[in-house]
Amino acid sequence: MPILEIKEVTKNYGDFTAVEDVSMAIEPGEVYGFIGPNGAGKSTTIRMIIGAIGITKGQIFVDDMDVSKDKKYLSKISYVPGDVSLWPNLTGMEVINFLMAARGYKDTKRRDELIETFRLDPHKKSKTYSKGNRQKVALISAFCSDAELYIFDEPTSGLDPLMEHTFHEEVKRLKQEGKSVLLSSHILSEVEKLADRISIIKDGKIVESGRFSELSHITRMKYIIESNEDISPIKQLDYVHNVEEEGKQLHLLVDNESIPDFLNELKTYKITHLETEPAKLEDIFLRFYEASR
Amino acid sequence: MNYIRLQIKALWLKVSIWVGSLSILTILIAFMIGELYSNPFERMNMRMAMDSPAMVAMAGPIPPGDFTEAALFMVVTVLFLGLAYGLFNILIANQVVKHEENEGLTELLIASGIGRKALFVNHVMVGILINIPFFIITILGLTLVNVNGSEFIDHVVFISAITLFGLLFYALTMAIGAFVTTSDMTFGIALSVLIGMYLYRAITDVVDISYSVVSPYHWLSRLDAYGGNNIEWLIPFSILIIFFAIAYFVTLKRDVGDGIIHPKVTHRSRNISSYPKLLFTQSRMLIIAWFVALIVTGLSYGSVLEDIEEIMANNFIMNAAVQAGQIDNPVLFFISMISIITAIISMFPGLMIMGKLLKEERLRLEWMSAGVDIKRINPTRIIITHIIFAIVASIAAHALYAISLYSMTLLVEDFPTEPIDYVYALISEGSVIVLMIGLVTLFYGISYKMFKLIWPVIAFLFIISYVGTILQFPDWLLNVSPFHHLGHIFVDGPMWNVIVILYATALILMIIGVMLYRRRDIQNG
Ligand SMILES: Nc1ncnc2c1ncn2[C@@H]1O[C@H](COP(=O)(O)OP(=O)(O)OP(=O)(O)O)[C@@H](O)[C@H]1O
Ligand SMILES: [Mg+2]
Repeated sequence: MPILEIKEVTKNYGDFTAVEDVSMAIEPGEVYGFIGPNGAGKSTTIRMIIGAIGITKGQIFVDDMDVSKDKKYLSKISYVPGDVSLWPNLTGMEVINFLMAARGYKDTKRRDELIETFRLDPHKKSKTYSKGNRQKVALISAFCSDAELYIFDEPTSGLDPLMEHTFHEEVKRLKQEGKSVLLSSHILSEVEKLADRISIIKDGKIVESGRFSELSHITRMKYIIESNEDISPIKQLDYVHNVEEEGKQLHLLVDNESIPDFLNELKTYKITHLETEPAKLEDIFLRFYEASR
Repeated sequence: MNYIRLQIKALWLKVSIWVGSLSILTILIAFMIGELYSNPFERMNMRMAMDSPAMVAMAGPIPPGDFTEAALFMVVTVLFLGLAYGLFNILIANQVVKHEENEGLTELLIASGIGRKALFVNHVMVGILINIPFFIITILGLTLVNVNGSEFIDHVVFISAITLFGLLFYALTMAIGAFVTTSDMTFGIALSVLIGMYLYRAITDVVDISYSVVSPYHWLSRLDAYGGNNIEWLIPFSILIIFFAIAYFVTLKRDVGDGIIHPKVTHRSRNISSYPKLLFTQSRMLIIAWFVALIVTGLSYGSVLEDIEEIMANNFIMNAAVQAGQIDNPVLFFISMISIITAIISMFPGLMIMGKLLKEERLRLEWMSAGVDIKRINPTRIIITHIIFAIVASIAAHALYAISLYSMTLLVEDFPTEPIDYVYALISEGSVIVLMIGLVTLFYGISYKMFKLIWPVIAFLFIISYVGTILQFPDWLLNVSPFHHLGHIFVDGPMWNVIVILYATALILMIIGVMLYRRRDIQNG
């Protein structure tokens, strides 16, 4: 039974459809990536899950509870937004303690551990915190709660690389504990590193979803080739994209389904160097961004 | 100059609303007085009524010269116009200078190449620009109304003074902002000075007017616009240059976003384990400030009671308001009037606590209420917590006023009130306080944006209560004010049926408001 199930959900703001017919399901122990460009509808979907906004059409279930019927499910989730505001005259510690009390958790040992790993000075007033530090306060509160489903909406937007890493470690730890995570992001490498499955949302609609391996049909392969001959005609091929010349080497992307054709084409040249790189989320994205132009 | 354009875009609506309502109100009062008090005998009655300590405490001293319609207009409006116009300037200055700094905009601007000095000059420019429309519109409007006893130059003198008064508080707010870190605190201090100076003058005007000279409100009175036109009383306003200078030097010295006065760093964590406790830490200062303000109000009105009685005893000519109310005990009438005015003032702490819901919703509610034990925290509980805090704070504020006023009556021999009268007054006027909190709950329940509709409602309530009878507003208009149905509490006693209806209406408004609020989307960001 999925911990989160979104069934054909639509959200309208007046005439404007922010999210249309979105469906997805997250299984226990799964990290689910939710990616898409700005304004795609990620936050809107998440806000429906946490019950902050109503659902125009469709249903959302958390642990089999319909979110629009009973708010009890809220104790099963933990949520961190991309931009956290705290109460300016409270210290970080006071905020964390307040949220722990609101959730009924008392594990101060875990709290202090997390404060340590995230390197937060918890005794400063919140108004003196930077964006990243405010984010840490929210993340610490989330990680020291005992939820089933963790929802992060662009959680690392304010964190430095070191803290980003700490965040990744904590997400992996949740996964090991059998918890589920919904991770919205446009930092692709992050989702790629952590997520088991992803959904790509664009203009309010899910355009692709599945495991990375299953998404290969829409991805592109990166090739680095080198030859003493003139290989410039390759640049003109339909399925070749984003060509860059670096010295004698040609870096290019090839549509997955056209790889056999591409290899055939290569045979006509004398290639001195050939390198391939696996599909990256960036490449998936490029395709969808391009389609929108 | 792009920056100025940006500012104008951000401010024009707020400025238009403030300037529009203040200038229209001023012009309207001039017009009504011209219509209603053309009879010199009526004006003489009015003058005598206004020459009582209670009225002087409220509206300032009576001008020495002829009591023309214009002079009457001046006395009725001058101090309240100053107060409102000062508040307008404080709000804008705080937003332009301090709020933006807190939100990080100032840093951004400096990063994009605007020098700090240029920024300061821009802030001063904005201050001057926002004051021009009121100056022009009001002078033009008053010239058109052309109240008896006024000439064009009188309007210029009067409105110049009000405008300078506003600019003075703009400069003061900038100076305070240079020292203090947060915009909330800057606003709080500036507002205390604005109100404090008014109350200080209320006491000294009655006790010994020579002490009033410290208060800018007194300069407005002494100017004697429409009478002597003592324009030398515009000179003290030049102190605003000093405030600008202070703002300039201190801002240049310190870091952006910082202040000279720092909040204390504590290593002890308070145990804030529930939303009510949290709200308490968030609203404590606000509540205390209003409590102090209402105690001072009670004491200052109380300090003039003895004289009212004396003067009223020898003065058989009732003022217009007393006549309109057909009341034969002016002392009790005045206590009732003051009680209504302070009931309106007492609404502010409550409404401001309700107002805290806005920031909470925009910034934190969504995050705070996801992933919690909903038995401990949920949006419904949060709004109800605010409602309860609001009611308690407002009623307590009004009670503190009543207690301080009553304790002053003990100093007056045979003062015709009993403690129970004050309890009745509290219960009676409490119904309107609670009603307004109910109304704001309803507004807020309908939509986030509708919340601010409560402010014009309160302004309207205040105008009806303060000048409604003097200006002989039509009955239907007076009837809109719930206070009108409660009568003069110290004279008529409590109107239990009305009181019950008002409390019940308040409760219904609250219930509907909370239900609507539960159904609507959370406003975020
Ligand atoms: N309250 C609202 N009223 C009207 N339109 C809205 C509202 N909230 C969001 N939208 C619109 O819905 C669309 C989806 O917004 P959403 O915030 O969900 O995007 P997002 O995928 O989270 O983008 P980002 O990556 O920038 O955070 C946007 O076009 C946005 O303008
Ligand atoms: Mg978003």
